[in-house]
Amino acid sequence: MIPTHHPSQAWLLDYTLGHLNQAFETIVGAHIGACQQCREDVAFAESIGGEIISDLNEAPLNVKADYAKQRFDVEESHSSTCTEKTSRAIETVAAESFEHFVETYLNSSINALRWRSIGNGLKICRLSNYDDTRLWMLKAKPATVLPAHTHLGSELTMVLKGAYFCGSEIYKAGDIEDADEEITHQPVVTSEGECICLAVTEGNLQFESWLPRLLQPLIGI
Amino acid sequence: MTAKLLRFRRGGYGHRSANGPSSKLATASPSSMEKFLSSDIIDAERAAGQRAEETALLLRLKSAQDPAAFDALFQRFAGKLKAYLMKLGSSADLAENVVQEVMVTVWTKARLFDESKASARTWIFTLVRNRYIDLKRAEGRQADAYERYASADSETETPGDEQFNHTAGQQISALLEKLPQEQAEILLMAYVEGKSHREISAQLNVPIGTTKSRLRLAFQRLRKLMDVSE
Repeated sequence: MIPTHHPSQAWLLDYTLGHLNQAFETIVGAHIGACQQCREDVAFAESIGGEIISDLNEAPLNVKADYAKQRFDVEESHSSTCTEKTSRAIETVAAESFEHFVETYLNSSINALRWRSIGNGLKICRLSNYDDTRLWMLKAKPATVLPAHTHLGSELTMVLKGAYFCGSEIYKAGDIEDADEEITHQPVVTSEGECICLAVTEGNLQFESWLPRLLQPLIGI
Repeated sequence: MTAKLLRFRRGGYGHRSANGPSSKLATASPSSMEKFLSSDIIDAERAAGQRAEETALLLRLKSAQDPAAFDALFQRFAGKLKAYLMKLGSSADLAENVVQEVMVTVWTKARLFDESKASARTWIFTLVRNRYIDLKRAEGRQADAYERYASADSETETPGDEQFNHTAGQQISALLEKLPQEQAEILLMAYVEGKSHREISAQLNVPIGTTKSRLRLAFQRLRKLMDVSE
């Protein structure tokens, strides 16, 4: 399984530099775990960081090299037991299945997830809120047509199981669809099987038609 | 959330003269284009030479715990790391502490360095970046506690810090100068001012899609520039 749709370079850079909140960190990290190409992009962004640091003018220092060397003796004892994570390109693991994803990234089990039916063959599972950012999952029966919508901010959707169409593109397991307030989309689940997605959304979705708008306060997306 | 730990300094970047190399590139005649590209190659070769030296030093530290190699790495990086942390908004005191920790890590964890995966400067960047992320997250969790601690803590500046602060905003990376100004500005805001692409869009007042496409183009160009040296 090689993902063919990736978060934009902007997300990978934010991930590299630690600018993401926990919800976006989770979804971008899960994709990177499954995507060699994005791991390479993160490693490249880190190498640009190395170049930028090397180009900076030095700030005046109090500390001398000897200080660090003296501390070496103190810290050596525990350094042998802990490993220093360095590159952010290699710290994630690929989820091999939906079950594995739930265990690895949500620290839960599929039986513990609370799905709520919202009609039209759709179920949602809300996971967490960080300020105005929601992390949630959507489960849709085969061939379900989702209501057309746009967003108040960014939205990343990662397919965990099955596949959906959006316009002429097909999104499969591991793929990320990168949307924002400038994009209106209407996902349609393929007819082969159910589709489960992880989504991170800033602000409420903005539905085009009145019925989902009417139901929105009840379902909380 | 920033409190005293991350005293962000606004502005300073993106005010470059319109006569930088990027605007030359945009209007270049074939001969000046050639000259521009050959200076790219010279710069890239110089940077590649420095990278190789640094990596050789780190490998000496890794294989032989060579104190002289450590001193040389300290000499090359410690002041730059402090500058980086201060540009991200850290106080001089905190930056100095973090530099000490990072340089201790360079010494103690050199054996984890894998030269097939990264150059020494990239590896050291990841160490300081990781420490910065830890601090930012700890700050999020303990903002109140930190406020109390910070207000009790008097700031002592290293001689020269003040002058450094005044000139900090004018520093521009030699590598980023090779990018169109609108791309270089975004990278500086991301790497050096610690802003997300969403915050950058808001500050520059450009649509989010514009920021995304500028970053995509910037990384395409950087890949070409870095390939010259490999």
